[in-house]
Amino acid sequence: MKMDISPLGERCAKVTLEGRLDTPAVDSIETRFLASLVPGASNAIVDMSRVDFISSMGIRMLVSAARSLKLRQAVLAIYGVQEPVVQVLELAAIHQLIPICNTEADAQTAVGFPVV
Amino acid sequence: MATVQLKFPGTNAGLAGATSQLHAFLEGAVLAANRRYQIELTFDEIAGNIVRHAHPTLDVEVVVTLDGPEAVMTFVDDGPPFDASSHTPRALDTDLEHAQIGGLGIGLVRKFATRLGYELTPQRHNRLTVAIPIA
Repeated sequence: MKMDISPLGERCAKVTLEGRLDTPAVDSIETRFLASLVPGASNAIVDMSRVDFISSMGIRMLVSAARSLKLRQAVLAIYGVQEPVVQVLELAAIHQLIPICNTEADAQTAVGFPVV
Repeated sequence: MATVQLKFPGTNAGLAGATSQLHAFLEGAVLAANRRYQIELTFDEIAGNIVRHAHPTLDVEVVVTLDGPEAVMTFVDDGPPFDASSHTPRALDTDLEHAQIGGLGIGLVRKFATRLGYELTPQRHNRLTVAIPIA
Protein backbone atom coordinates (compact mmCIF):
# COMPACT_ATOMS: atom_id res chain seq x y z
CA MET A 1 0.00 0.00 0.00
CA LYS A 2 1.34 3.39 -0.99
CA MET A 3 0.08 6.58 0.63
CA ASP A 4 0.80 10.17 -0.30
CA ILE A 5 -0.49 13.11 1.73
CA SER A 6 -0.24 16.66 0.43
CA PRO A 7 -1.73 19.98 1.52
CA LEU A 8 -4.59 21.38 -0.49
CA GLY A 9 -4.96 24.94 0.67
CA GLU A 10 -4.75 26.05 4.29
CA ARG A 11 -7.04 23.62 6.04
CA CYS A 12 -7.42 20.74 3.62
CA ALA A 13 -5.31 17.73 2.73
CA LYS A 14 -5.39 15.34 -0.19
CA VAL A 15 -4.56 11.72 0.50
CA THR A 16 -3.78 9.36 -2.36
CA LEU A 17 -3.91 5.66 -1.61
CA GLU A 18 -2.72 2.92 -3.95
CA GLY A 19 -2.98 -0.84 -3.54
CA ARG A 20 -4.89 -3.03 -1.11
CA LEU A 21 -6.48 -1.56 2.01
CA ASP A 22 -6.44 -4.81 3.99
CA THR A 23 -5.27 -5.79 7.47
CA PRO A 24 -1.50 -5.76 6.80
CA ALA A 25 -1.72 -2.50 4.84
CA VAL A 26 -3.75 -0.69 7.49
CA ASP A 27 -1.29 -1.85 10.11
CA SER A 28 1.48 -0.14 8.15
CA ILE A 29 -0.23 3.18 7.32
CA GLU A 30 -2.95 3.87 9.90
CA THR A 31 -0.80 5.72 12.43
CA ARG A 32 0.58 8.12 9.81
CA PHE A 33 -2.84 8.52 8.16
CA LEU A 34 -4.52 9.57 11.40
CA ALA A 35 -1.59 11.61 12.70
CA SER A 36 -1.42 13.60 9.47
CA LEU A 37 -5.08 14.59 9.48
CA VAL A 38 -6.65 14.54 12.92
CA PRO A 39 -4.48 16.76 15.16
CA GLY A 40 -4.59 19.63 12.66
CA ALA A 41 -8.31 19.13 12.07
CA SER A 42 -7.72 19.16 8.33
CA ASN A 43 -10.58 18.60 5.98
CA ALA A 44 -9.50 15.66 3.88
CA ILE A 45 -10.26 14.23 0.48
CA VAL A 46 -9.07 10.69 -0.20
CA ASP A 47 -8.36 9.50 -3.74
CA MET A 48 -9.42 5.84 -3.78
CA SER A 49 -9.15 5.36 -7.55
CA ARG A 50 -6.10 3.11 -7.22
CA VAL A 51 -7.40 1.06 -4.29
CA ASP A 52 -8.52 -2.30 -5.65
CA PHE A 53 -9.39 -4.02 -2.36
CA ILE A 54 -10.80 -2.97 0.99
CA SER A 55 -11.69 -5.02 4.05
CA SER A 56 -13.25 -4.02 7.36
CA MET A 57 -9.86 -2.82 8.61
CA GLY A 58 -9.67 -0.30 5.78
CA ILE A 59 -13.22 0.80 6.51
CA ARG A 60 -12.33 1.14 10.18
CA MET A 61 -9.40 3.43 9.34
CA LEU A 62 -11.57 5.71 7.20
CA VAL A 63 -14.44 5.87 9.70
CA SER A 64 -12.05 6.46 12.58
CA ALA A 65 -10.50 9.42 10.79
CA ALA A 66 -13.85 10.80 9.65
CA ARG A 67 -15.36 10.57 13.14
CA SER A 68 -12.35 12.23 14.79
CA LEU A 69 -12.43 15.00 12.19
CA LYS A 70 -16.16 15.54 12.65
CA LEU A 71 -15.59 16.09 16.36
CA ARG A 72 -13.16 18.85 15.29
CA GLN A 73 -15.63 20.37 12.80
CA ALA A 74 -13.77 18.95 9.80
CA VAL A 75 -14.92 16.59 7.05
CA LEU A 76 -13.40 13.61 5.25
CA ALA A 77 -14.69 12.61 1.81
CA ILE A 78 -13.54 9.84 -0.52
CA TYR A 79 -13.75 9.77 -4.30
CA GLY A 80 -12.99 7.71 -7.40
CA VAL A 81 -13.85 4.44 -5.67
CA GLN A 82 -13.60 1.31 -7.84
CA GLU A 83 -16.76 -0.78 -8.24
CA PRO A 84 -15.74 -3.83 -6.13
CA VAL A 85 -14.71 -1.52 -3.30
CA VAL A 86 -17.97 0.44 -3.60
CA GLN A 87 -19.90 -2.81 -3.14
CA VAL A 88 -18.14 -3.54 0.15
CA LEU A 89 -18.67 0.02 1.36
CA GLU A 90 -22.37 -0.32 0.53
CA LEU A 91 -22.62 -3.61 2.45
CA ALA A 92 -21.28 -1.76 5.48
CA ALA A 93 -23.53 1.28 4.82
CA ILE A 94 -20.51 3.59 4.83
CA HIS A 95 -22.25 6.00 2.48
CA GLN A 96 -24.35 6.99 5.51
CA LEU A 97 -21.21 8.08 7.36
CA ILE A 98 -18.74 9.39 4.77
CA PRO A 99 -19.40 11.29 1.52
CA ILE A 100 -18.52 8.99 -1.40
CA CYS A 101 -17.96 11.21 -4.43
CA ASN A 102 -17.33 10.54 -8.09
CA THR A 103 -14.68 13.14 -8.77
CA GLU A 104 -12.05 15.14 -6.92
CA ALA A 105 -14.05 18.31 -7.55
CA ASP A 106 -17.12 16.71 -5.95
CA ALA A 107 -15.04 15.68 -2.95
CA GLN A 108 -13.65 19.19 -2.58
CA THR A 109 -17.18 20.55 -2.60
CA ALA A 110 -18.24 17.95 -0.01
CA VAL A 111 -15.58 19.14 2.43
CA GLY A 112 -16.26 22.80 1.73
CA PHE A 113 -13.01 23.48 -0.06
CA PRO A 114 -13.34 26.52 -2.30
CA VAL A 115 -13.22 25.33 -5.90
CA VAL A 116 -11.82 28.04 -8.15
CA MET B 1 -11.11 -29.24 -7.60
CA ALA B 2 -8.24 -26.93 -6.65
CA THR B 3 -6.75 -26.45 -3.21
CA VAL B 4 -4.20 -24.17 -1.59
CA GLN B 5 -2.80 -24.70 1.90
CA LEU B 6 -1.45 -21.69 3.72
CA LYS B 7 0.59 -21.94 6.92
CA PHE B 8 1.94 -18.76 8.43
CA PRO B 9 3.04 -17.17 11.71
CA GLY B 10 0.35 -15.20 13.52
CA THR B 11 1.90 -11.85 12.67
CA ASN B 12 1.08 -9.12 10.20
CA ALA B 13 4.11 -10.12 8.14
CA GLY B 14 2.90 -13.71 8.13
CA LEU B 15 -0.58 -12.57 7.14
CA ALA B 16 0.81 -10.40 4.33
CA GLY B 17 2.76 -13.34 2.89
CA ALA B 18 -0.25 -15.64 3.04
CA THR B 19 -2.42 -12.97 1.42
CA SER B 20 -0.02 -12.85 -1.54
CA GLN B 21 -0.06 -16.64 -1.82
CA LEU B 22 -3.86 -16.75 -1.81
CA HIS B 23 -4.04 -13.95 -4.36
CA ALA B 24 -1.70 -15.84 -6.72
CA PHE B 25 -3.75 -19.04 -6.30
CA LEU B 26 -7.01 -17.27 -7.09
CA GLU B 27 -5.48 -15.49 -10.10
CA GLY B 28 -4.92 -18.92 -11.60
CA ALA B 29 -8.45 -20.10 -10.97
CA VAL B 30 -11.46 -19.66 -13.21
CA LEU B 31 -13.58 -17.46 -10.98
CA ALA B 32 -15.78 -14.41 -11.37
CA ALA B 33 -14.04 -11.30 -10.07
CA ASN B 34 -16.65 -10.73 -7.34
CA ARG B 35 -16.27 -14.30 -6.05
CA ARG B 36 -12.49 -13.92 -5.96
CA TYR B 37 -12.95 -10.71 -3.99
CA GLN B 38 -15.29 -12.43 -1.52
CA ILE B 39 -12.79 -15.22 -0.88
CA GLU B 40 -9.98 -12.72 -0.31
CA LEU B 41 -12.21 -10.60 1.91
CA THR B 42 -13.20 -13.63 4.00
CA PHE B 43 -9.54 -14.54 4.36
CA ASP B 44 -8.58 -11.04 5.51
CA GLU B 45 -11.48 -10.81 7.98
CA ILE B 46 -11.03 -14.22 9.60
CA ALA B 47 -7.24 -14.54 9.45
CA GLY B 48 -6.86 -10.87 10.40
CA ASN B 49 -9.01 -11.43 13.49
CA ILE B 50 -6.88 -14.41 14.45
CA VAL B 51 -3.66 -12.43 14.10
CA ARG B 52 -4.93 -9.33 15.90
CA HIS B 53 -6.98 -10.91 18.68
CA ALA B 54 -6.10 -14.60 19.20
CA HIS B 55 -2.31 -14.19 19.30
CA PRO B 56 -1.65 -17.81 18.29
CA THR B 57 1.61 -19.41 19.33
CA LEU B 58 1.59 -21.99 16.53
CA ASP B 59 1.32 -21.18 12.83
CA VAL B 60 -2.15 -20.38 11.54
CA GLU B 61 -3.32 -22.96 9.00
CA VAL B 62 -5.78 -22.10 6.24
CA VAL B 63 -7.01 -24.40 3.50
CA VAL B 64 -9.01 -23.02 0.57
CA THR B 65 -10.70 -25.53 -1.71
CA LEU B 66 -12.57 -24.61 -4.88
CA ASP B 67 -14.95 -27.49 -5.32
CA GLY B 68 -17.79 -27.26 -7.83
CA PRO B 69 -20.33 -24.64 -6.77
CA GLU B 70 -18.54 -23.46 -3.64
CA ALA B 71 -15.27 -22.41 -2.07
CA VAL B 72 -14.65 -23.98 1.31
CA MET B 73 -12.21 -22.20 3.61
CA THR B 74 -10.94 -23.77 6.84
CA PHE B 75 -9.05 -21.74 9.44
CA VAL B 76 -7.21 -23.42 12.33
CA ASP B 77 -5.46 -21.59 15.16
CA ASP B 78 -4.38 -22.33 18.71
CA GLY B 79 -5.63 -19.08 20.26
CA PRO B 80 -8.23 -18.96 23.03
CA PRO B 81 -11.48 -20.73 22.05
CA PHE B 82 -13.67 -18.40 19.99
CA ASP B 83 -16.73 -19.44 18.02
CA ALA B 84 -16.98 -16.86 15.25
CA SER B 85 -19.92 -18.74 13.73
CA SER B 86 -22.15 -17.82 16.68
CA HIS B 87 -20.96 -14.22 16.88
CA THR B 88 -23.85 -11.83 16.28
CA PRO B 89 -22.88 -9.07 13.83
CA ARG B 90 -23.40 -5.62 15.25
CA ALA B 91 -25.88 -3.16 13.77
CA LEU B 92 -24.55 -0.85 11.07
CA ASP B 93 -24.03 2.78 12.00
CA THR B 94 -26.14 5.61 10.65
CA ASP B 95 -24.55 8.47 12.58
CA LEU B 96 -20.86 9.26 12.18
CA GLU B 97 -20.50 11.07 15.49
CA HIS B 98 -21.55 7.95 17.40
CA ALA B 99 -20.18 5.36 14.98
CA GLN B 100 -18.46 2.35 16.48
CA ILE B 101 -14.94 1.79 15.26
CA GLY B 102 -14.44 -1.75 13.99
CA GLY B 103 -16.47 -4.90 14.49
CA LEU B 104 -17.74 -5.15 10.90
CA GLY B 105 -15.71 -8.14 9.69
CA ILE B 106 -17.90 -11.11 10.60
CA GLY B 107 -20.96 -9.20 9.44
CA LEU B 108 -19.39 -8.68 6.01
CA VAL B 109 -18.53 -12.39 5.72
CA ARG B 110 -22.10 -13.32 6.66
CA LYS B 111 -23.41 -11.23 3.76
CA PHE B 112 -22.25 -13.81 1.25
CA ALA B 113 -21.19 -16.97 3.14
CA THR B 114 -23.70 -19.81 2.97
CA ARG B 115 -22.23 -21.77 5.88
CA LEU B 116 -20.13 -20.99 8.93
CA GLY B 117 -19.16 -23.88 11.18
CA TYR B 118 -17.04 -23.96 14.31
CA GLU B 119 -15.35 -26.80 16.13
CA LEU B 120 -12.94 -26.90 19.06
CA THR B 121 -10.61 -29.73 18.10
CA PRO B 122 -9.38 -32.40 20.57
CA GLN B 123 -6.09 -30.42 20.62
CA ARG B 124 -8.19 -27.39 21.71
CA HIS B 125 -7.53 -25.59 18.46
CA ASN B 126 -10.19 -23.40 16.85
CA ARG B 127 -11.38 -24.72 13.50
CA LEU B 128 -13.69 -22.40 11.56
CA THR B 129 -15.15 -23.45 8.23
CA VAL B 130 -16.69 -20.95 5.81
CA ALA B 131 -18.42 -21.83 2.54
CA ILE B 132 -18.90 -19.28 -0.23
CA PRO B 133 -20.86 -19.95 -3.42
CA ILE B 134 -18.74 -19.53 -6.55
CA ALA B 135 -20.96 -20.95 -9.28
